[in-house]
Amino acid sequence: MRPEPKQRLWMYEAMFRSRQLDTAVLAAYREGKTPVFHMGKGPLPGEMHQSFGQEPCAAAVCVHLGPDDAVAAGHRPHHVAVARGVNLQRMAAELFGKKTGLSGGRGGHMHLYDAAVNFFCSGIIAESMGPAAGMALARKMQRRSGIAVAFIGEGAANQGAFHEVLNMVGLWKLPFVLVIEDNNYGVSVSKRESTAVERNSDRAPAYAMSGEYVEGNDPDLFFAAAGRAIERARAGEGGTILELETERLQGHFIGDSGGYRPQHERKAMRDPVPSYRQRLLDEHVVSAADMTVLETRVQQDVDAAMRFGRDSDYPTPEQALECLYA
Amino acid sequence: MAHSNADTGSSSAERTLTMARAGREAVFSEMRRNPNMFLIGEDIAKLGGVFGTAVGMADEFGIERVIDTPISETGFVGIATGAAMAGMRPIVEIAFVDFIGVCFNQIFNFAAKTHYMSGGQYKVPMTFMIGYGGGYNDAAQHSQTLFATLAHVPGIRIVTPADAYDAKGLMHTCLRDDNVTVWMVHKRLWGLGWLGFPLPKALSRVPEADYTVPLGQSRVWREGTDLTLVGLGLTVHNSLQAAEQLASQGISAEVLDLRSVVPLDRDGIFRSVAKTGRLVVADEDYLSFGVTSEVLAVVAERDPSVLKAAAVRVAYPDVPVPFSRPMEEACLPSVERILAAARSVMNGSKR
Amino acid sequence: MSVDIVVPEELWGDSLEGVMLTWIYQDGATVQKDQVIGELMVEKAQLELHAPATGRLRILTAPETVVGRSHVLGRIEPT
Repeated sequence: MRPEPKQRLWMYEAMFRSRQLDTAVLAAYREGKTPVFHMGKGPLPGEMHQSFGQEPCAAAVCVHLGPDDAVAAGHRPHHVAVARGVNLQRMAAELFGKKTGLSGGRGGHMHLYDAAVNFFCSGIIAESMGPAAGMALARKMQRRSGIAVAFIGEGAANQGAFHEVLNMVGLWKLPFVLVIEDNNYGVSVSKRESTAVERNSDRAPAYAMSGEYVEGNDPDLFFAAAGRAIERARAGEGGTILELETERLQGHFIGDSGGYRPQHERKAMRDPVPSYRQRLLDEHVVSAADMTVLETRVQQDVDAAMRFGRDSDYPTPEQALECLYA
Repeated sequence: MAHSNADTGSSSAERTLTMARAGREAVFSEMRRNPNMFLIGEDIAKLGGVFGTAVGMADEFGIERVIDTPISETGFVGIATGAAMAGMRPIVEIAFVDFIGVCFNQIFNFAAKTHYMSGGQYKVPMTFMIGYGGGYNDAAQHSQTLFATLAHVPGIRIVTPADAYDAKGLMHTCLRDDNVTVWMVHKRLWGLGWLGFPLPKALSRVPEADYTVPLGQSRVWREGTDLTLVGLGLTVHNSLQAAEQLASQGISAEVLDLRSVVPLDRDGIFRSVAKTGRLVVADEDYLSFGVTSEVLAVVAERDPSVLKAAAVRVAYPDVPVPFSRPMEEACLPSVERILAAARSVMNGSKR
Repeated sequence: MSVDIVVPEELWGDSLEGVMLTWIYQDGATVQKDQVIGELMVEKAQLELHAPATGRLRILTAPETVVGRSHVLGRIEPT
């Protein structure tokens, strides 16, 4: 299964959109935080886990999804939200903590929800897996065609929820795909230091699931494996652990310099976004002129979203007490 | 087990049911009404629940809707939450409240917060059915009450019926609510023969038709003028027995059943205490930071001058539940302890 | 003709004794054949009693009474 040119462009656009959003967010995040870094200061406060380098994972999976599919992300959700088509303006507004945000400012960057595209997050590691599998169960019980996909990091594979949920996914043959974004680090602890097996996809037989590991942090390589996993889920053939080798180009969150990573690792880092762009141009998937049109349009979207977020009103203090119950 | 389903058929005669039968009747009725409702938990399909909460349900609704899970509470609570977010209405059976320890993250960090954190985009219409309480030598990990542990987390509604009428009505209320609700029943009240004969007042007349009991509305079981005995679940029954003995000594005790822990009927509590001027609160949960503290806070915040004597709390001391009979019995909020508290309140003055 | 209410033989298993737990209907109530009218315990199992006929329920055994295999728990009388 090779991506059509249209699909490759879709993937590039999703990656580029996430990248441009993260770039704009990074700039806004730094405002008001100098000379002394204070996480709670500036227009964009709080923890900020960005997706620089991991964009191919979300793009190559979400390109296969349809409207009834559900997608769960973790604490590093921007690229997944963008690839899933979460409303960009309301997402930006949520990051700024504004009334117009997806959750009216109650969630923030680790807790993005957009029910219109069946998207949600959890900031607790591996905790979105159960709810995502529950969305798969609901689709199965209601005889709907949709599936559920949960994105976690490789560090999350050592959480208890991982094992409990996957056992039930396998037992009940739920239409579910677990995407493990293997960036090799759970904050500062490397996979080798935390995980008894080299590949978490090797754990799949323990849950009667399929497992696949894809190297290269390349959307063209990820595309086929993601397509297979999603097709299996859709056909009722069971779940897949799809582990994708990716790269966290920055620290765990903004403010983490990543000094615990050895020099050779840092030197070997490759940015997947410009290299994919170059490949699409080299292989004549898109002309330079059309690429400029695409990128200009995306940049305008991102600028508009950031402007919308920045210019929107804050919620009132009283609104903190609303919305607890349906 | 030689159980049929809970449907006792139509009859013009009035029925006196155990809480188990009444609670199940509500679940049967709501499951019939709503094809998106399902039960999930351990030992519910074949066994009908460790405490018989789901007896007969797999026979009627099939194992697709009465799902026996592996021993994986984090997993199935999370799965139920996601199913609820996707339009289903799960009922989660957890036999012992002690077991929320192994799935509490999914309950308090995810299920309880999802409606709020999503700005109301996702509803979580999910009901937990949970047994609690001791008094039968099951020791520290199978005897707890833990109202406060759950109630401390915003976003969870918690009820605990004291008789069969409320068991059914509160179950209907929970199952029709679009939020996370926790329907908790004291094991001693449930009506299991192997945990003692049903308490006479836990058995009650139960209409065959569906009905709801509103959340956050306490119930006066017995009116009185000299002091208020506040209880919930089993401590309602202990308070009623204490009130009878007090009556024989010429003391008129009002017995107030909270019924809901969240929302708490603060008006009802204050109304009764303002009338009687004296307050004893009995709860099988741990003493500190619990329901008893919250009830006292209501009076302290609204108008402590209504109290003619310092209020007294009768709760579980702040220790794990001991196994051995004399130790456990001494710790429980017994009729004797409630009586002693009531007498001290009657003799006491403002400190 | 009235019909005795006894515990069906197949529910006893190897047990010789049981305990009456509850009656759902009051003495004198009209009940329908096969309706669940009460519960009793045989060891740890909680069993349902079904009305053997339609008619008026006569309760002969109070809750908490220990009963043997052939014990007549109650009677259904014609209305």
